[in-house]
Amino acid sequence: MLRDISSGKADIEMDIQPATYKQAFNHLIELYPGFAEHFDPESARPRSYLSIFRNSEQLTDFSATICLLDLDELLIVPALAGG
Amino acid sequence: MTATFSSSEQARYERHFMLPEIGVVGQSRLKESSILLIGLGGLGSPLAMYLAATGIGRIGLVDPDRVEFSNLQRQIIHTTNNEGILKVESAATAIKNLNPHVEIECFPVRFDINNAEKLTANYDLVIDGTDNFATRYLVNDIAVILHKPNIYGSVLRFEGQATVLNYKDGPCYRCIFPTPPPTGLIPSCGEAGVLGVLPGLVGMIQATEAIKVLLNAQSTLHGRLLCIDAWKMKFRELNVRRNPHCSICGDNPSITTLQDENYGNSCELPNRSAQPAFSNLTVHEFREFLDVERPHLLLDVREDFEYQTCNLGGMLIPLSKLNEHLDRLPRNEMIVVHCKAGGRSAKAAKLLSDHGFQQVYNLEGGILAWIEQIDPSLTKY
Repeated sequence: MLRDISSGKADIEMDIQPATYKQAFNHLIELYPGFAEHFDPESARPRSYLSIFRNSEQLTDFSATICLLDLDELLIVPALAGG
Repeated sequence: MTATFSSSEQARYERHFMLPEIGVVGQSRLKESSILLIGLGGLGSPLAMYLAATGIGRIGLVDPDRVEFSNLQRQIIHTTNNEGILKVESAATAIKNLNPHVEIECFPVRFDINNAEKLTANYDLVIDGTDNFATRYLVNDIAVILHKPNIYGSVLRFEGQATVLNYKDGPCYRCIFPTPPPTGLIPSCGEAGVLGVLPGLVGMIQATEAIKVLLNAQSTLHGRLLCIDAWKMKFRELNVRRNPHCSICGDNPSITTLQDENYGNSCELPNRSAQPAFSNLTVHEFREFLDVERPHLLLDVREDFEYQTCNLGGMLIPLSKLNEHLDRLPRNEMIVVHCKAGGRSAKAAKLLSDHGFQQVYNLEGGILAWIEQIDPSLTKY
């Protein structure tokens, strides 16, 4: 589903300043506007069928002050239904 | 008190007896254990086979469906000659052949809010081998309410997920994904496809974790969501924790009983009007349209290979190409959109409505519903 939005790309590299979660979110939406409907545009919080991880840790705080470090990875993990 | 083993059982479980982590005591615990396996599809097939071979004492099988040829690419417990037979019966036969010492209980019913508690209460743990969000959330919720571990797995295309939920203070499914997505947003395997061996891979991980939970092993997947990309053959562990604000396992849960509204389209996307911009049409209503020769254009948004398998004579424009071909469609005429099961056509209907098409109808249940309820002579896939 998400790769359909990102033209099949599984990974997107970003060079952003300042390196915050909000900036990364804004950059993602600029690159691929199709992601916008899966997030709250104000808070950048994902819809409840997605979960965001920074490296291996689930993000629960999406405030603008959340900073990212060089080489940090943000993962968007969707709920899957198939069985 | 440990279970006793006949000489044939002793031979059967010999390799387990050798393992210090299992031994006679562990094997006895497995024999005295019970598992409710919900879903006998891609995940449920390897699960049922390995759990039976392992020597779980009692296994409950829940699935309302019958074996179809399109299942056999991945649902390996079912065989070609069992086409048309209830999956629980097909699986029970295979299990009895595999290990006659296992007690099997068959429930050829849809797992729903009316039977979930009664079915689940009688087992030590539940395994989620379901193929839709509504049942997944229901399995999660009844597991939380009844304090049962829930062994989770899911697949789509080349990707899979697995973890142990509601176990040792770990999270439940709603801690990770609080509510289901809107209908049609995330496709099912029936719409997006799935690599045949992938549910085998994920199902065997679930079986492994179920056995470890029954053995009270410390190193289960609880607190870790395992994400698998079978195309790249990459495995990734993500840390997941119980959310104190979770609507069912949190400190002040809002869900304390099973209610229908928690398993439908509870998570609509924002900025969409409360009323959908298109209407839904049942296959019977559509047949009435045809009977009275009501003018319309039938739009089929499946892929070409699906169209070749069976079709209703509609104009074929796959959903992925619809945006590029809007100029081929009449703006002021009635358009009925269909796909295989209704998911893609709902997306297509929304897309058309967003582009100003005035009379857009989504055929509920897609061509599968048409075949089942109107014209069984067409090839089902």
